[in-house]
Amino acid sequence: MFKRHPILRYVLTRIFNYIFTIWGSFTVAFFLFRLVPTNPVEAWVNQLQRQYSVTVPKGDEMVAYYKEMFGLNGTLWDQYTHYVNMMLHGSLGPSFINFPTPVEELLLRRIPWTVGLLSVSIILAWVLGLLMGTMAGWFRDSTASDWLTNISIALSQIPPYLIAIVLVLVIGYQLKLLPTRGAWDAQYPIGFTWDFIKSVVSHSILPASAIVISSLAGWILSTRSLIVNILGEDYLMYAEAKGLKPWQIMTRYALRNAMLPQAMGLALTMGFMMSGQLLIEILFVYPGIGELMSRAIAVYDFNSLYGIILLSIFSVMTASLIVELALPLIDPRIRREIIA
Amino acid sequence: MFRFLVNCWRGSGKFKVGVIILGIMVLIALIAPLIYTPIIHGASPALPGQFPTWLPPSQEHPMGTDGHGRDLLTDYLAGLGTSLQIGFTSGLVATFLGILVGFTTGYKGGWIDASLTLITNTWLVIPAYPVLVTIAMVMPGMSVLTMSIILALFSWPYAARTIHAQIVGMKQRGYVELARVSGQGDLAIIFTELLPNLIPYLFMGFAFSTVGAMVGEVGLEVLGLGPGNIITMGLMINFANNWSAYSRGRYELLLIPVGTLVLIFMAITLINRGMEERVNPRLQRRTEK
Repeated sequence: MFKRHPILRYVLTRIFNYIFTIWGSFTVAFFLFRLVPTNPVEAWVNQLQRQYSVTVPKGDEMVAYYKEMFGLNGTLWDQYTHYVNMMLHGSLGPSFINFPTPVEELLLRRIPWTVGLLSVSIILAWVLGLLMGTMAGWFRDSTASDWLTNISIALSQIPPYLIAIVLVLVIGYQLKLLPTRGAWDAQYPIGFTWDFIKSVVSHSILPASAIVISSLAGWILSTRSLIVNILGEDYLMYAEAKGLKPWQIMTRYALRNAMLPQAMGLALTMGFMMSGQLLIEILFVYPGIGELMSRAIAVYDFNSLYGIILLSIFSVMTASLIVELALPLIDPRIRREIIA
Repeated sequence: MFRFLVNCWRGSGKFKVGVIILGIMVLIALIAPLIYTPIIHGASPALPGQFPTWLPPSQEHPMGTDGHGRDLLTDYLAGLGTSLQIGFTSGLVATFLGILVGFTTGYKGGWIDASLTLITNTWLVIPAYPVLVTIAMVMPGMSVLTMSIILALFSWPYAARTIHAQIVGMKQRGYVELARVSGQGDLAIIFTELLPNLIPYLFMGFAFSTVGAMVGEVGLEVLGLGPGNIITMGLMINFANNWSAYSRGRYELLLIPVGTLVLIFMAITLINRGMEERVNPRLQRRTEK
């Protein structure tokens, strides 16, 4: 049956890989974190004692009670099956940092901030990179293109947090132009009011710029090399011979052909959003998933951590599955390759 | 191997600029003890409380002293060496792992390839930061070597992928076929036929992993999660943040380590790109005609 239906085999293999990878990587992550020799409940009680310098009455009983509640009893295997069982019933368990709020609720509260900040900056960087990369490829003999390319190469590996530090220093502290902490001004109530939206936007400019600046160079370079490769193709020569204007050739032929791989790249990058910018969120005290993750790690809140990791694995894998299934649909060359 | 590097040096301006910048950094790190020993009189660079805290820059302390009473120039010079050391060690370990996995999967093919690739992908999908941060929290007194190895565990798949792709393309070539027909073993083919042609890619994998490890290291240190007893560029950034270098007006405490890291990353990326353009001239192609 598979011999006769290569497309079906392709789709089924991808779906099997998808499920296996999600299960496998989550399982590895589960046991990795359980190797931590600290009992989070005990760590938490200890932390209470340190913070408020009181002894917690009946601390031992409390520890036992919560251990049961957080599924920390029995062997590692028992804990694993307990967690998977709970997960398959649609629950991620109670969180520790915000007890007794369930983890899924915590995540839902955080997701809009992370998705809002990152999707806007990723798309902005992508659009700018595509445009600048196309220009750099098209005018590849000009000095300006050389400069743009060389600067992009030099900047392509600079992590966003280093850029963020400089932005905070110069624009936040020195020039006092933009806020550097939080996601909105606490004096405005959350809602669709003009003041609130304005404060959300102004708070997001610095973290978003750091992300845009650091990822722009990569998009410029990849678009440029795509364009330069396309420029050697016969169909461009043909378009030129037909008497099309250079502008038309650039947008309709060169850019359109570079679009497909870049759109797939954008989809994959969007998939990494959820595991995305931990340091940026911490640096700007931005109430997204990354900041939640850092607080969860600080008290060994396994449930919240697992929730975040699941979310991240799920979004990365879903994005790549979509790309793998969409590519042969869009691109007949790849479809032919699968069939052959 | 050396011929390749010499060719890069001659043929690529990017490679040359990168090597010069990185070379200066390494040189500074190597002669650092000569500069800071007279300042701290032979004590350990990380020892706190050697001087009064927050001295402004002066003759004896060109950059002043930090909030722990250490000479800041010493912090910087010692930290530069450690940062580079972590990056290079980790890059080496990652390249080695990448060679091992990339060769096995690329050369053997079949189900070994399929399953190892699936495992590699599974590992890649796990978000690295929470794992790194947790390891750092559980092992607070990590040595430079341990830290490098742990960072390498998260950067090897990239090297493995690059090498894998090359091997798959290379083993189809005539000379490999010939060697196999003439009865050479797998190991002999790998070492005599494949490895010499792979050297550029090994260097690239190494450069890439080195940057990856350093980015990871600085990230951990900025959060204050690296080994606190060893000064690195990341830890200096963390100190500057914690000691509110901004409100003291000591912006250079932040800008110097940030600038140094940016220079190192830029240098390695330029070296990498220079090599890439040598191997794949299409990248720097200007016009067809």
